[in-house]
Amino acid sequence: MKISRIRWVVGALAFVVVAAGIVLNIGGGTFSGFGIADVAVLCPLGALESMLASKTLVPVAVISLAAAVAVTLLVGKAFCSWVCPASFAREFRESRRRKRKGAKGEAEVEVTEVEAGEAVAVTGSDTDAVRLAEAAEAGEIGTEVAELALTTEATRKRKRFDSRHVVLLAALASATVFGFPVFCLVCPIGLLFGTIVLVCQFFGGIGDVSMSLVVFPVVLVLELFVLRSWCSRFCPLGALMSLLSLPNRTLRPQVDTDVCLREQGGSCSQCTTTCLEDLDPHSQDGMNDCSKCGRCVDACPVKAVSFAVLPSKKKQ
Amino acid sequence: MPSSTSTRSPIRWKSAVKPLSENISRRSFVAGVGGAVGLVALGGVGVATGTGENLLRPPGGQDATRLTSLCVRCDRCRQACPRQAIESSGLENGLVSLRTPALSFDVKLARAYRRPDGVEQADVLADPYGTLLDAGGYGFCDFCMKCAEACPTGALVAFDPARERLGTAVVDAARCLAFENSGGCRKCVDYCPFAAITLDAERRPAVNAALCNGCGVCENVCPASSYRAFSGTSRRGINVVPGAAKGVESA
Repeated sequence: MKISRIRWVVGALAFVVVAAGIVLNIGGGTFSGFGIADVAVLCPLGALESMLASKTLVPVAVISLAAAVAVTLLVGKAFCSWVCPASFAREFRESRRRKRKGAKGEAEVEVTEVEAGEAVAVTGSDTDAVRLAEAAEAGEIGTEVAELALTTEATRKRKRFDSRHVVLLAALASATVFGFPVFCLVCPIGLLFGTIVLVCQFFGGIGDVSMSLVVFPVVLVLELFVLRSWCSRFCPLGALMSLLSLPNRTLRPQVDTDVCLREQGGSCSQCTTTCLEDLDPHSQDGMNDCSKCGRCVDACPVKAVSFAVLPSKKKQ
Repeated sequence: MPSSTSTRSPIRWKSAVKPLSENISRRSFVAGVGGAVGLVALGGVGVATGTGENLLRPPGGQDATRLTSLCVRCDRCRQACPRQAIESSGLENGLVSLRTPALSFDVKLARAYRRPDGVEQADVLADPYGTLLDAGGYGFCDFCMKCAEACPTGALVAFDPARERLGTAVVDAARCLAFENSGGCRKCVDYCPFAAITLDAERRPAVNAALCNGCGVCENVCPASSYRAFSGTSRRGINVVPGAAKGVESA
């Protein structure tokens, strides 16, 4: 069975459990804070915001942060692809986009040039990326091939920080300055479950009908489907977890070089093109952003990619 | 420092910017700053447009600043309330209080009146509030404190209903049936578990603020507007408003 299928089942189950808790008033909470009886864990970002906004040390928040450090050490950013509804929305959207684009694999040169430019900007020297871009322009190789190779190349030269980290800083700063967790208001997870709460209140006849019932879903759709790059561009929770995942070495995708087509001199790059985090299983660069989604494992035509429980001893 | 620094500043600027450009691409930085500006704007607008001090909070959440800063909007308290008296605050009550818990004594489906089978009318008249409790009535606070127990961050703290109050009931003369018909309705008087409401000489309800602690039973059972008006409001003939945030009688 494909890992992605298991993952969608797990994600759906997590969502259904929380949604049922909201509808039936079970009292578990949401992903923002979930627990049974007195034992609860908080969203690590919410925990930080809450403490910064109130300028107090909250025991549960500290414990939750410690738990987040421990969990990310073991499974990295797995929350993103296995649990977070926003990430599933992205995967759904992305796979549809790729299906549409699959028919006409052209008109990608613009993107590749930008990526090549970025790769050059990082290294400051002539790289494979430049050669590939030139080759693609001159028509020596297919634009699609160049694009794939370029993605790999650009990924290898990944910069340490991106826009998500800036948003993370802003989320922490705004909570401190304004005294309430500002980001929580626009968090897609919060908005999704908040919408379910409002629907329940509407049908339960509790309180006045709120315009939030319209605004929440609209903002949610804007963030996830119009903005389109929430996870990779803006999500501060993803940024926090990618930072916490820096020491993570377990459950990283590993390529069997004896089987891999690319390692054998072929032009396959299925694992890199399918990756939603723009990672390359052949390289460890930026691997703290791996959400253990298993798309690379699923995509490999020769089953050369697998999750290594422990990092392999032999260097690739 | 005048001229000397101004000539050297460009060089300093360059050396300060370079490490940044090595760590983050310009495009990414611009997108991040865009998101950051959005958050700051949201926070600024939120604080500028009011903090939701006018909201009636669950027991232990009377310190509005503490509540809005510590609350992570996890929904546990709302789910935990056996009386379904907690609602998730909407945009109407301000950005700062968005999705924080507020008390709502307005259960439109009138489940508060659900009376268990076999209860005699005489029993109801003898102990209306007790009947309401036994019947598993909805939409008022019985200070069970399950919400505060469920709160993971301590945004809701311990609460002593004998010394503290959620708010105070205020009779709305424009809506109260007793004012309109000069007598007849005395639901709030009968149901008040704290005997804080009495009928005055003209058979109109009057609240003794010293005895009221804002449990909301009166507002819940009030038939005004729930039976007659279709004005799209949850306001009744008697409404609990937040007040005297902590400790009713000063020791």
